[in-house]
Amino acid sequence: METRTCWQIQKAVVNALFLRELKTRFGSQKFGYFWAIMEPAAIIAVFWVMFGLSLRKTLPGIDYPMFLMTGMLPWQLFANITNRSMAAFEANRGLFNYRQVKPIDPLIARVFVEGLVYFTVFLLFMSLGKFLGFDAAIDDIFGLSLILAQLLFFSFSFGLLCAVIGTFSENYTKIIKIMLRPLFFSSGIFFTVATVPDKYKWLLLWNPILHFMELIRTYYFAAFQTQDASRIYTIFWTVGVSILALWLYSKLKNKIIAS
Amino acid sequence: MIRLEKVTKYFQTKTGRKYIMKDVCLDIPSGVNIGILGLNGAGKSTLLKMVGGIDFPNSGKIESDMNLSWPLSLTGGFQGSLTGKENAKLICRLYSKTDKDVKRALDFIFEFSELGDYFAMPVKTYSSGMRARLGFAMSLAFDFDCYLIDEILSVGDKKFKKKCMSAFNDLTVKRCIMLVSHNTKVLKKMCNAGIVLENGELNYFEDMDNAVKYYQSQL
Repeated sequence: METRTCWQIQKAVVNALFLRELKTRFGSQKFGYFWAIMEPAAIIAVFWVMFGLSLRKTLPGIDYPMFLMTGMLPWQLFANITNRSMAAFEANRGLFNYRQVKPIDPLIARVFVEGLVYFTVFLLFMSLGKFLGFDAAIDDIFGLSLILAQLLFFSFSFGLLCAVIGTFSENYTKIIKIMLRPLFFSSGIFFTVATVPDKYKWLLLWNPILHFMELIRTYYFAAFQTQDASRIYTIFWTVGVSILALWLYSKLKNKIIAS
Repeated sequence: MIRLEKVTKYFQTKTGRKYIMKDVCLDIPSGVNIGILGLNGAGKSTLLKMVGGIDFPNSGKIESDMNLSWPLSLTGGFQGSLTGKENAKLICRLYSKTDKDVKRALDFIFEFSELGDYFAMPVKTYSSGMRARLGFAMSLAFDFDCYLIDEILSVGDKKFKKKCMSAFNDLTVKRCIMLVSHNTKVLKKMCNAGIVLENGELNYFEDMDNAVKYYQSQL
């Protein structure tokens, strides 16, 4: 057998896992693709009916369904990766029997799958919005791509951190699952920071996801400019979480394989 | 050649460290078929896994210039929810360079395993014999220098065992195997050198017969 370099091997592994992931996520249940679209669509519809009318005035120049879409899809990307990462090592244990498969590989493959799915859904929703007569134009497409790529990387790192710690502590997994609920309501999916009373602002602004949301909308909508979110803050979190996750992973990698 | 350099491996239990190997140094030359003997819990599977690179010594090094198979065992290596074919395809993709190689390996696995319609059923529905068939067929689909086999020959029906044996007899002409088994007859037939593991010691015998004699004297 010919020898391959580390990179060739990891590429082959991630590619094989990517193809399998696509199949298991969408192939086994015939409605897989349908749910990837319907889940965010249903939530957007519900909140549109609940808040749409009252918020119309506070967001001049932005159609509320588009506003919801730009919050809901990034949130689902983050929450899905986090949720799926937590059980990833356990779920792929059988694969660690093959020495070229490292525990991080299924996570990388999964991030590619999620990225691809939500990119497609995003385009679909944009077209749908345009078709329904909303203003779906992107103000700064380069800036938007960058911040979404950063969110994807942040989600991956956070997922890796959850996966590593989750392998050794079930309590941690439970805490993260409990935390995702309030995070859903405080990450600015339905509101902008500007509408929050000043005395609560500082508390909400600890949440890095909220910063991501504000920045995503700043790049998406010409009529919106964030007053409170900081790009530096998101970069700080992204770098911090990724270094911590990779450091812990490299320390515990062999234990995860052998356990 | 497989080289063990001052390898120490222990498991942490509630009453302290349980040593499987303590400062073991050993050179196993290429082309030698090795049988591994030992009582339950002596560390046979762990040794095989460490050689295969999916378990790690607490200290020391294990090196090899050979192209080793993954450790074939009845427990690991499959995703139960996926079908036999999907499992095989994934592994073929891990070990092949082109789609053509994947296809060829997949055809071979289907043929050799004789699973028929069960090939398209989830692996969790398989019996241990069927799992052994699949795992064995998968490993034979690739050209390894050395095959690491953990007890897999002991399950399965006579016909399959016979098939495996003849496949291995063909193989061992140019390749080698490392075999964990409790069946001393099979070990004597397949292997020319032996390892007996006991109480943290690794005893190497250049003749399998002597290894079996030593092992039986311990019982």
